[in-house]
Amino acid sequence: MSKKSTRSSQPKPDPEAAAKPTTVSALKKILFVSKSLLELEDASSGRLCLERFHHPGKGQSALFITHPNGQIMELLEYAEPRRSWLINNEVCSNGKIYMTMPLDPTLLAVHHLRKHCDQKAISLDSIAVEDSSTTRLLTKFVPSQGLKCIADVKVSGDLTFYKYNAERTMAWLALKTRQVQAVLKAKQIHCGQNAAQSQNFVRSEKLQVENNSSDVDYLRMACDIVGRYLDIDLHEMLTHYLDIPKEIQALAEEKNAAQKRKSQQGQAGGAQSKKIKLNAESEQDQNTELKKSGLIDSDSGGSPPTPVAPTPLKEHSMTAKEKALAKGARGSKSITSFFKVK
Amino acid sequence: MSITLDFDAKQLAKSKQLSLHYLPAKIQGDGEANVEKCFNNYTRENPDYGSGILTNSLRGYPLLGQQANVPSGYKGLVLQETEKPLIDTAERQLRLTGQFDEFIYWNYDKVPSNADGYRQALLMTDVAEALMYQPIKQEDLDAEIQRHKESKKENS
Amino acid sequence: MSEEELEVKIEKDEEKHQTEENVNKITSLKSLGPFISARENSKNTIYVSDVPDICKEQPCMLGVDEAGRGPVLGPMVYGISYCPLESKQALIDLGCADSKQLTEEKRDIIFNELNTLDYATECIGWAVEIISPNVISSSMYRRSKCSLNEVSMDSAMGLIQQAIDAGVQIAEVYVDTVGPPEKYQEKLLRRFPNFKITVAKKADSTYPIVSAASICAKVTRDHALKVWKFPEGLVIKDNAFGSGYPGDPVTKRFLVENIDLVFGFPRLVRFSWSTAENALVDKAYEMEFDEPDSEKPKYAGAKLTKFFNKTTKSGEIKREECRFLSQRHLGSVTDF
Repeated sequence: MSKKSTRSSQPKPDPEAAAKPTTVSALKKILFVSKSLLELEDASSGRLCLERFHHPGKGQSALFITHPNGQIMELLEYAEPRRSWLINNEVCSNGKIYMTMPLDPTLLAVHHLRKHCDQKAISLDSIAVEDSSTTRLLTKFVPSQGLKCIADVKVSGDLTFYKYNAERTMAWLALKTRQVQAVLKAKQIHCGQNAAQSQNFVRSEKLQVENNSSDVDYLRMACDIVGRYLDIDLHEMLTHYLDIPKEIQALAEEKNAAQKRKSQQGQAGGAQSKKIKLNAESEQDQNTELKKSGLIDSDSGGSPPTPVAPTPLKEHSMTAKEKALAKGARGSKSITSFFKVK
Repeated sequence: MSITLDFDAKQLAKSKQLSLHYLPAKIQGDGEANVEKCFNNYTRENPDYGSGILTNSLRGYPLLGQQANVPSGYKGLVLQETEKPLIDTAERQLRLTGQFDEFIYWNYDKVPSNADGYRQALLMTDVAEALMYQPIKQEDLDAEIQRHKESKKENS
Repeated sequence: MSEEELEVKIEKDEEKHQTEENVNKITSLKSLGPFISARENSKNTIYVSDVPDICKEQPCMLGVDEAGRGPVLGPMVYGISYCPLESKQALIDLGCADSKQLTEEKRDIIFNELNTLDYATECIGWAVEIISPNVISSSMYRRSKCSLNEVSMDSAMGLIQQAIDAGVQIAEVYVDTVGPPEKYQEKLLRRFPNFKITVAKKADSTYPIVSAASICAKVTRDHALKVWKFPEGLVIKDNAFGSGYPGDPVTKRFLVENIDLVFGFPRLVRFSWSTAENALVDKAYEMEFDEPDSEKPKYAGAKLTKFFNKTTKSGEIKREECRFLSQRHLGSVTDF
């Protein structure tokens, strides 16, 4: 039997093979496209298009799909680390699924209006004169109803001018976030802030039933989903507006609450945590103590509310460096221990 | 730069129905494959794992699979680019190879379930629809602004 | 239809008729091949002979042996045979001695006589399990690996259970093993506490009943290879794959010449053998599956860095994809 640590054959690159031109099929792609985009008129009148627009969450351009009738959707890729396709009698190394996702283009407009129309009202076509893709986005795809939610509109003759309205935008984003929150809740999607817990869905369906996400968890996740279309500072403003506690605070509070419960149960609790600080002679002992106190992530699944740490889905794609990090992190203090109330 | 999906309604309607397998392995190769004789020939239904669960193997690795539908509201397309231009700014064209409404989803030694990343990913469509298709009324917006002002006052 | 064609058709019909008749029962050496080839070779096949009446009444000994454990191709076959403790002489008369000393021809003759001569069929029964190479590979490549030893023991115990269920009065069990006997013996005793169980190396040369089991297993494996049909559509003249041992030049050539870029080998080959794995390197597309459970690093909790925004070298902030999407392997498309 092979003693290799990974389950793959990794041939050394064959210089001859590399020189061969890639076959045509190398460029095949799988797309799940919304049926509403497929109502195409015949022939000449136009085609679906993949276009690049500035994606504020990415800080760079990303692809969107546009329809000649003015529809726009976001293009997402589902990229599990180890996937490929068989298509009829061919193999396709590109194992991704590209998927069109409904999108409110007003979200994309926020970045541009905030940047260019904060001080004075201007018309859409003069917002980014040097950037044709932004002009196209604003004039062809963003609905005027949407613009009214994020800007003050002034009409003068044939011209319409827009001035960014921060207050309205924030209220609009808050309402959007609550809509998403409602869906997350209705679908019972796990949104708990405990990173280990939130991985449960990859382990078993049953665990989803035990989903104990709180309203704040749903709201935080919803805010992050809306926030991926926003500049980072605006995302933070939205988090603040919605009174969402920082994830790290919530984590620390949760742990502290658990700690208190523990120390109430067994009086030794408080004394023990002091002892931890003093007892530094043996790292091994310290780790054991820390584990007992629930302050570090234990892989043996000790104290609630930390369940047995399941394997995160992403971990399959761990690089050697990440593996080393994970290995190194074993037995180290959890982040929450640094925020412990002394 | 833009990439045109170079087909119209008629061409779409006439396009080939394709048969697809979604395999749980990274395969570093593209091109012809003897799918019928080396793979389909070995697909079996195995009710021991649940109704409709299929078994097969790939290079000796055990696979468990299931017929899966393209999510409702979607159409599966296979697109192909004849040649990817070297300059990123060039106009590009994708041709339609064919379409599909179902495919066989395979896991490596794991019964397909809602816990699979793939099925979890499809939940994104619900979220995206919530963001897109529920227009926000002007009066709701005004109410929210009012509410926020009041709550700020209370806190100060 | 010409006369010639008609003749061919009649011949074929006869063949078909013959096959159907023999396909469910092995009554001689001749019927072994048709029985095997009527079954799917990507699955395991179990055959249990009729149980002689005397074996249901008198205490019996039962031997267990395997054939084809080492080769890189073809099935591994587990065999059992049993007879009353008092009928040992019948085994000796048949020539069930050290099976390793027997030629293939001699084994075929003994197998045939075991199934045709009255004195043998009246007191000796047997059963085999043909463990498909496809099953061997997929067991060894499971997420939680299942070793060949586990596959072997499960097969042996399954066959013993078949004999029990068929009414054989088992008193003593003799098992040939290549591995350490103690563990094996312990496991068998746990499952079958009422039998006297002996697990020994080279038991087939010591105990004639193990020798008989060994002959059944070996003859079955040889025939399984002879009648192997490739669902992949391959045709190999006389099915000449060699011994299946990695050192055999015929086997080596077979492996080299029958590589499919995507699917690797035909499923006659045990992919989980390092010989097979190595033969695919550079010759077939690289393929990578998830790592086995045992080799995954343990999850070490949330990373510290998760809570801080990363900055790139140029100082701009690199934002991570929202967890809802990244956990689902979803993301925006920047390269296409």
